[in-house]
Order: sequence, then structure tokens, then C-alpha cells
Amino acid sequence: MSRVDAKHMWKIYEGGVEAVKDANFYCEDGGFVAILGPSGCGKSSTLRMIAGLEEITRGELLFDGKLVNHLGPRQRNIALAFETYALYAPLTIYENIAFPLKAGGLKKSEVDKKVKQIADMLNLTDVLRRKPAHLSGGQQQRVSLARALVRDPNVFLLDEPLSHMDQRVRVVLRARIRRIHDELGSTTIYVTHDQEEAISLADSIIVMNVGVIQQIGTVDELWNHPVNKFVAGFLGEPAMNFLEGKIEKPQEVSIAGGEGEATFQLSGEVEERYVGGEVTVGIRPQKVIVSPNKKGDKLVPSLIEVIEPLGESKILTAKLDDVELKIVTSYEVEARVGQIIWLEFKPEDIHIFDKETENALIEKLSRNG
Amino acid sequence: MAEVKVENVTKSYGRLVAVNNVSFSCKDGEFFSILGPSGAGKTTTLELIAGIKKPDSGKVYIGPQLVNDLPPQQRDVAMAFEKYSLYPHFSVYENIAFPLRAPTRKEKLSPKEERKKVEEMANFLGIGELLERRPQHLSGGQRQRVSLARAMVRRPKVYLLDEPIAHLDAKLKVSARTTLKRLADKLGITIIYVTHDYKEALALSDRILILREGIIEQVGTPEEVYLYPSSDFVGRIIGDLPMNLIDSEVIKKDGKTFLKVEEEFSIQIPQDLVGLAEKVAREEDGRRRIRIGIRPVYVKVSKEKLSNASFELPVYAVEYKADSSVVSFELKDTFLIARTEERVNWRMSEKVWLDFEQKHLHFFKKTVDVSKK
Repeated sequence: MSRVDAKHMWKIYEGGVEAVKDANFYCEDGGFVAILGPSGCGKSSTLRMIAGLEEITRGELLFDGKLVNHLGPRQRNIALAFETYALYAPLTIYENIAFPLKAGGLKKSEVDKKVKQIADMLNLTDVLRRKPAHLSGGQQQRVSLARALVRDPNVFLLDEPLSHMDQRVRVVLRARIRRIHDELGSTTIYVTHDQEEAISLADSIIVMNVGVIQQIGTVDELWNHPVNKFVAGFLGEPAMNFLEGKIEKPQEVSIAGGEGEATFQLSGEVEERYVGGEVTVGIRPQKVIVSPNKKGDKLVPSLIEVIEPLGESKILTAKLDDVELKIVTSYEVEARVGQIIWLEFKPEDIHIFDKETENALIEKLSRNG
Repeated sequence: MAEVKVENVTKSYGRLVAVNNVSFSCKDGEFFSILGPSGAGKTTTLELIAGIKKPDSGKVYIGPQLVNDLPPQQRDVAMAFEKYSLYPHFSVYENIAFPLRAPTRKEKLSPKEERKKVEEMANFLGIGELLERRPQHLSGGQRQRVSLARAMVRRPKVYLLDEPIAHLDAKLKVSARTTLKRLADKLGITIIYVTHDYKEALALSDRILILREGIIEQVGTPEEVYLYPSSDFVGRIIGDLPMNLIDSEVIKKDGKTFLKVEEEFSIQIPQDLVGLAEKVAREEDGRRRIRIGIRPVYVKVSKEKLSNASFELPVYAVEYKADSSVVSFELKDTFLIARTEERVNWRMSEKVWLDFEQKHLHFFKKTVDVSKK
């Protein structure tokens, strides 16, 4: 397995379309990295450059410190598993998994050992003699994974491997992918548009938008300290709420609502020049604290307009003046449409963004400091 | 608005029985969902109500009227389908206005009245700015909303919606769902809504009908089907992480009752649940077999032994969530999934203690295959 380093990597297509701009990131030997972003963000171009399927326009790609820009996919020894599992229909599952080993000139007994080992890990032992057509979608996807993994690649690349799976199958397949990674210690890069998928699996997530890496971090970093409004809004479902606010003091923001306004403490300080200015306040639906009554002057009132039960939880849609807010509460919290509720935000749950640049303000300060 | 009643309706395609002796009634003004996997007979049921298909046997009523022999246009129902078949050469406005201009319509609207209705609906669905555009210049989400607006612009007796927001991406779906719920509340209309997505069914419905291979599994409010699933199938189809279904054997020892899952672990069940367990258990090869259902949030996991009923298992894998973790365990026949309240950093094969929250235990007959194969 290899460490992967991308240094100032660009992909510029004919006609000047800049699909990937100055990407810098790494994946440690044995690391699990997800590249996450909406369609058209450049994540697939990035993956294709790593795989050697796409020429790197500018910049360097290194495997274990060695430049691989000019190596083809085979020489890079990459294993790729795609969303659409192209299995060879006339071959048995055994033959499908063994296929990549044929070219390697391995002894038959070694091939057999490897195929059986990987089949066991993916629970395919019972179906090795069957043909792909007789397998369920989930099984076919596992065969596709097994085929990619069987030949000890330097890097394991997964491109939306679970997008077409049923939710129930996904949960188990995700666990299997994570387990295989932990067992084999494979360097894994996983591309997805699904934030839940990225969060579930990866140790480190690269968030991309319009060809540019927005932030690289652990789940905690991205979730609790998004560097800008895009990252804040892209991770989480329902998405983060954004409200208008005014910075009263470096550590205090006010939010207007109902007749008056409420002030909230921040977890850090905002630069002095923002004091008196308007900012965007971000708060996750899961972090809004709801009370049926007003307690002191720390709360803003809002009107419940829609309630959507979801089993363990429910989503309230409430209006704070003209702004629609989503609030996730436990199913046990009582609420009815037309009810006024009072909202409270804890300092550590409040995110502040510049209205123009959309950059996070609290985070930025603490970084500079 | 009207009530819809379906009585002992059966519909077959050749040898396949798509809808098998189904009966239900959807009340006047109710948001009624039909939930099931593909092939369950959901769309066929909707088509039978719409009059697009005729039942082999059974009766369909809209209001007091038996409509079996009425063609679709005389049933006064509006439909929106997953595949939004908009008229490509019409503007968005004309697409939405189309049902208002239908020749079978009794009252004719003046152009001014028509515009008012179209604009009101379009504004409500957030497509008011797009009225002069052609469908091909819209995004998928916008098209779906145009299709919805077209179905909702007139006031039929019943709205029939077939996966109207299925194609939207996750973010858009959340907002479209809220919009739809708001619209339904505002109009107070009778809606029959077909979906395979349990979240849509729970979030939107007054009641949910769960269909499996043409047969009704359960009808109930969102709370009822979530908290009291009538079968392992219902338990499995509803819930973010699928409900764990674990097969076990009922064992008596020293006057206590245990459910033995594998040699390594058994769960003691409290006295007040024994009667229920005995009732559900089935004889199989001389053993009393029962299937345990428990949602991942009610599987407590800890490094410490929390109770006498705790059992120990090695971790298979740990997945992250924003504020929690999903920990999986490999059993002989299936996976057991637990959702923790806080993030944990356990390694694979590390042994941890598990507890099932007793009041959230379900007992089922085995009707769903959850094996690892």
C-alpha cells in the first residue's frame, strides 16, 4: 500500500474548463479519505487523475514520494471499483474475482488461496460457482469489490460504489468496506456526493466545490468548524439554518425575532471590525433548543408551521419572522402546528459567516490566533 | 373532496397477482400513503383508483359512488407521477393551466381567474419566476414541482400522487416534502400518496398502508407503524438504520425465560414480556423459535457491563456519524447494528458489552430473510 500526495494538481480540459484547481491533499499509507462534493465539483476528475485515466494538466501526483504523473493505470497498480459493477457475465463468480490475477502469472494454488480469502471476507464463499446473473445487486457489488481488492493494489479507489444500493443493503456494505480497510490496511480513496456516506466511512474528508478544495478535515472538524458557508450547508441533513444577525460585541451576536431581539454568546471572538455589522448566523437543526415558554430574554420566538415525524425524531419547520427554520427534536417533544416556541442556541453551536465572502469568522480568528 | 373506499380488490397480470384482495378506506381530507418496496403493488393500486386499470374483482368507491365502470376523466381525480411528463412545447404556465382548460370541465375560467390560480399554485411551490420558461430549461427538481403544480391546480375529489418527489436529491427532497405537507394542510384535500421511502410516508401522512407483494401488512398512523410494527417486514421497512432482526430460541431455566441467540449469548426477558414471547414463538425442529426485533438506537453498547442481561461481542466495524457512531457486530447468520449516543473509537475485534432496551423489544414470526448471504 502507498501514501498518495497531490501537489498543486490541476485539470484543465480543452476549451479551458478548469475542472480541478490547484488541489493539494494527501492520503496516508493505510488512510481512508473521502472526496465529497456536489455533481460537477471536480471530485471525479480528481479520482480519474489519481487512477491514471485522465492526464494531469499541471502539478504532481506522488505515490510513496515517487512521481507517477506519467505512469498508466496498470503501472500505478490501482484498484478501481465503480458504481456500476461490470462483471463478466459468462464467467463464474470465482473466475470473475480471479480475473485480475491471471495477468500476474501467479501459481494456481496461490490464486485459489487469494480468491477464497477475499470471498470469505465479503461473504461470497457460497456463491463462487454461480454466474453473476443469479446474484442480487448487493452480492454483485460485493463481487465487484472483491475483484478490485484481490490483487493487493497500491491504492484502492472507490467511485460512488453504493449509490444504487437499497438503504438496508448499504448499511451492511458500508460496515464491510470499513472492515476490509481495517483488516488489510489498504490506502482507500472514496468519491461520493453523499455526505452521510463520506462521514460514515472516512477518517478524513476533502470537500470540493466548483473545482476547488474547500476544506480538508475529520468529521468533527467539518461538522463543528466548517470554514465557510458552503461546507456548513453541504454537510448535514436537514441543512444548517442560516439567519441574519448583528455582531454586538466581539463575543456576542443578536438575532431579531418577534418584537425584539435576543443576544447570544459566541464560543470565540469575531474580529473587532465586524462589531456593529451584519453577519450570517448558522445553526444546525439538531442544535436548536426548543422551549414552550419564554425564559428570560435569551430566546427568540417562532411559529411552528409544519411537523414531520420521522420515527425517533421529528422535524419542525418554524418561521422566525420571514425566515424558515428547520428544527430536529426527539419524537417525545410535544409540538403542534400554530404553536409559538422559544429558541435557544448554545455558544458552541453558533456559526458566524461573513455576508460577502461567506467565510467562517470565529474559526478564522482562532486559527490566526 | 371525498372519501375513497377500496373493497376486496384484486388485480393480476397473467399469473402475477399484483394486488391481492386489498381493502382500505381513505377518509375525506386524509393524507394516506401506500408504502412498500418495488413490486409491492403500490402503483397498480393507485391506477385502479384512477381508473387507468380495471380490477379483476372488488369495488372502488369515490365518495358514495361506485366508480368501477367510470373512465378516468369522469372520476374527478388528479394525478402526478414520478416521471413528470410535461408538454415540452408548452411554457410552464401553459403546462400548469392545462387541466383547467380540459373540455370535460364544467366551469370555464376567465383568463384572469386562470392566471390567478396558476400563479398562486406556482408561487406556493416556488416556481413563480419560471412561468414563461419551457420545461427543457428547468432542472429536475423544478420539473417535478411543475408536475406537482399541474396536478394540484384544480380541485378534484381526490389527488393521486405516485412518488412525486422521488427523483430529487436529498437536500431538495427535504424542502419539497415540507412544501407538500404545507400544501396538503392548507388545501385540506384527500391525497393518496405512493412511495417506497419510509421517511416521506412518516413525515407526510395521517395514516400509512404498508403493502407487500400485493397484500396489506399494516395500516396505521406514523407513530403506530413505527412503534408497533405488526411484522418483521414493517419493522425492517421503517427506520433510518434498519431494525435488527435476530432469530433465537426460547429457553426456560430456573423459572426464568431466556432467548438464546447463539451459544455465546442469551438474553433474559422480563416477566411481563414472557406471555407475549410465548404467543409469538413457533415450534421448529422441536425448538421454540422466535425472532427478536430491536432498533439500533435501542441497542446500548458500552465498555462496561451494565446489567445482568448484558452480553459481550467483538466489534466488526465502527462507522462515524456527526454526533454518534454506528457499531456493527457479526453474528452467525446476520449483522447486529447499534447506534451509540456519543462517538466511540473502538477498534475492530475489540470486545464490548451490549444491552437491549427491554421496552423496545419486539417479537415476530420470521417472514423476512436477513441472512448475510
